[in-house]
Amino acid sequence: MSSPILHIQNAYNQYLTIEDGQGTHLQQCLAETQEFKTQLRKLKAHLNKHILETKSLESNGGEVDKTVQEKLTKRRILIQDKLNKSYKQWDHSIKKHTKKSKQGLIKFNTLGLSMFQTFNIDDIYNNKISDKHRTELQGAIQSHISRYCLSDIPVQDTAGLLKYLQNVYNISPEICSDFIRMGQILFDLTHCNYESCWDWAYNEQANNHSHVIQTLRYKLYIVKGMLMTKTHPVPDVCQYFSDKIPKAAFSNKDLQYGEDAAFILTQLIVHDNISNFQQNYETFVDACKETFTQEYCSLHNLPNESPLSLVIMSGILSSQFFMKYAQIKSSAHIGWTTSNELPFDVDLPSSLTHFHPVFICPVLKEETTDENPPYSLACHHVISKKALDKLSKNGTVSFKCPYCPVQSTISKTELVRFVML
Amino acid sequence: MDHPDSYNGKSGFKYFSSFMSLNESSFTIPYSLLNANLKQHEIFVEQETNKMKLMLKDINDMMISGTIDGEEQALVELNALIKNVNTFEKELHIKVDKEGQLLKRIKHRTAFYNEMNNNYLKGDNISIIDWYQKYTNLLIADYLIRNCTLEQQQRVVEETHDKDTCNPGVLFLKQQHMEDLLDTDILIRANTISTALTGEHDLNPLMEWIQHNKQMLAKKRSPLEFKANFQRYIELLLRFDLGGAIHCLQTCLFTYIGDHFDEVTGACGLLVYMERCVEQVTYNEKILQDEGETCDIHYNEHKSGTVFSNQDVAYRYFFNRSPPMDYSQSINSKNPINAANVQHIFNAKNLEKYTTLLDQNSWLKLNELFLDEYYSMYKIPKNDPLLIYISMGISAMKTKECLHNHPSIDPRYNVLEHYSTADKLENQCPVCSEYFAPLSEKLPYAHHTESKLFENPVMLPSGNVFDSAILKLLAKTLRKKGIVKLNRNEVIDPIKKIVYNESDFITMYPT
Repeated sequence: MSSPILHIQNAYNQYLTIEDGQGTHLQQCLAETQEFKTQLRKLKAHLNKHILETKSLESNGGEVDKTVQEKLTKRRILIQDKLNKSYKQWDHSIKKHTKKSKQGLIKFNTLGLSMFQTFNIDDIYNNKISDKHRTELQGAIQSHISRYCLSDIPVQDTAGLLKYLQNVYNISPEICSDFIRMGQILFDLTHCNYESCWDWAYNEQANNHSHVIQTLRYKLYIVKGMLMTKTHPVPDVCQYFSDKIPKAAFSNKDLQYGEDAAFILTQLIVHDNISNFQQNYETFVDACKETFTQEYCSLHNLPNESPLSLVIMSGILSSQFFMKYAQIKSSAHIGWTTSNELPFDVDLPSSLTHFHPVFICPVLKEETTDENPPYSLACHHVISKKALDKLSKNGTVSFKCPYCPVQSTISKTELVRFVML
Repeated sequence: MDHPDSYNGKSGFKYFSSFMSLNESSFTIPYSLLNANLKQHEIFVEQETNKMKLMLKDINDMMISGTIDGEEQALVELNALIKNVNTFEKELHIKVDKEGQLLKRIKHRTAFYNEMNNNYLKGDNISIIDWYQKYTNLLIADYLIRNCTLEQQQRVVEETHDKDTCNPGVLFLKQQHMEDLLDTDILIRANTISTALTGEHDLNPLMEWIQHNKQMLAKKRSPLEFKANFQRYIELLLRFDLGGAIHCLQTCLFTYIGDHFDEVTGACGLLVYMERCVEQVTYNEKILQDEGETCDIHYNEHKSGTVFSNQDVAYRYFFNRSPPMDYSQSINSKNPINAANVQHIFNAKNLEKYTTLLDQNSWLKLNELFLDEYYSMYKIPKNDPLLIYISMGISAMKTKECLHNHPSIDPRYNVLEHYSTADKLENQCPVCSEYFAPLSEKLPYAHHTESKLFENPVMLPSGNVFDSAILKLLAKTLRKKGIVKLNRNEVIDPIKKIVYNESDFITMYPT
């Protein structure tokens, strides 16, 4: 099935394309009205002229020549005809475009919107979050804003920023203070000011975090070099790359430093400037920001991704499973008796499931818990305590491992704990 | 962060279509607004063309006379026609601008959702994660707009000095350059009416909205209009504006007697029993407040301090006239007052029908009803989408290990190379995080059918099972940095802090 978004795109393009060219029918209505107004003004001028001429002829006294009279009548009829014709044309055109506009919207609905599989998102909200958790929820939101969005705020002096966050987003200094400096440096990077980031990297390097900061400093060298190409001649830029930058940068393959520098220099030497400068520059600055953020969070023991964004990612990825369940539930009229566990397996990527080990007892097919922990058998296969009790009849008999021929007794088993490093 | 989606085989987001169906309102709202815009345009065209047709007829009549006076009059009328066309043009301009804005929304939204799919197609993990962050921001903005209070609005205005942007959600969207991705006008309208109802007990914005959507509400047989009028009536009664209340009853509520007979008759009764009901409600509230404490309730003692010596007195108090003969005969009026009887006849139970109409939560209920109607009209989710995704997200991630305070790893050992989350010793499980842990407690666990462990599991004599490669890497790094004195082939159990030899490793076979 092709994606509904493609249908929307097609429907949108069709709505914008009319027989006479680009634009919408409403825009065409406007153009026609403007044209009609110009016509009316012209006709008004003609009529005015006609009246003045008639008046002047009459004021001259005496009889008006028959041919002149005929000419005047002809002109009056002409103005009248033109007026009627213009109006008719405008009226027809306006109504036609209005009708076509309506047809366009109907088409937009048929070609685009009807392609959506109708589903009410409220139907998958089975496990409601109680209102009494609003404070925690707001804390998660505030912490997310502090992590990602401080550099987008117009006020950047520390006191002002703290006040702004408190007033606008109700974020207390306890939540955001760890992120303030990071936000300010990111703001500077966005506004082509690298000094604060450079100083931060320099200070952290002095504080024995040399490995971490190296990458960031090299990225800053590249961005600086790139900016130089705008103001300095090519030899100066080459000089900068060869003299100012520590040689170690070129030998570290992980940094791709040599490749980036070579890219800039080749462009300069061949074209005398960097093609797609803005795009390339933004890519380098984004890489710089990404590295800085990771290093800052790592050094200050802050989460690299906000828990909220991870949870939302998990929510989006799992939504189709919830949808499928809701559909089955409503069509088959079935329920699920276990309320403390989801009735379906949600297949999430490892990046969202690596936080805790999950061990499913191969005998009972249940996840082990503190009450039912995993036990290692003599053969080093692992089963849960409940399964062990069952197989050993509460430790009274020896039993065969469910996976291999080795016999075990309860005394040969050992409580184990899986630890994710 | 490693790969966000294991199904990514450069084939786009596998569940893109179903995800898009959850975001259908992103396109249906601008579509319905385009429709409304066109409908207004159609009515306007019809009105104006009819008017202009008449003007043109007049001009023709005047010109056909062939006199100079007629022509001069035609000129005046032509001028008026031009003025009319001018007004028409201005109005059309507004409609075209509105259409342009709505089309821009559709265009930006198409691009936004396409971006997600394209990131998957390209297999660009950083962009994929960036996109999810943007979507999270969008959900946050939606939450902030919907839940903005009057107090919050005032604080924002104080900070920004911009009365037009007093909602933090709108400000947030602007800062994130995502204005076109959310129908803020629709959400703000709902928030304005909602805060007026709950914060200021002001019915005017709601009544205005009802007037605009009368047809739709009637079609759905929605009780909203009745409930709003009923609330107005109650407010008038609470202010003891009996004249206003009776007028409201006559003009607004009686029309609903067919569908809401009980409530309308109750409303009539309230005219009589209002004073007693208010006392009763206050009295009930007092009882609720005192709940938990031993409370000896005497129904013949009211908040007003009235104590009835006998039932005749009580009857006189309530009905302002002598009790009927049969009443006096049926009850031994000479007996001292029987509290239970009085309660039965006059107070709590008899008034219950009326006191329920004075429910203190009626404003909240009215607000709920309004939001239901409003959101269903635009097919907007009734619940905050942010909460829906959080609820699903937590449940999908919540393992039986979550929310347990198992002995953690010594922070001194947090020395493995960063960037790869798998190497992080400190657990960053979002479910166990400070803010999500309390609200995760009540949510269900994820269902797993397969174990999710690690490569090369080895057990140390301590009973802890680790990934052998990472355990060795940890030992190597700790030795290199001089944090722990370890010989070659020695590792440390980072939980029990005991040093073991690699020969102690027991290879495990968890299936």
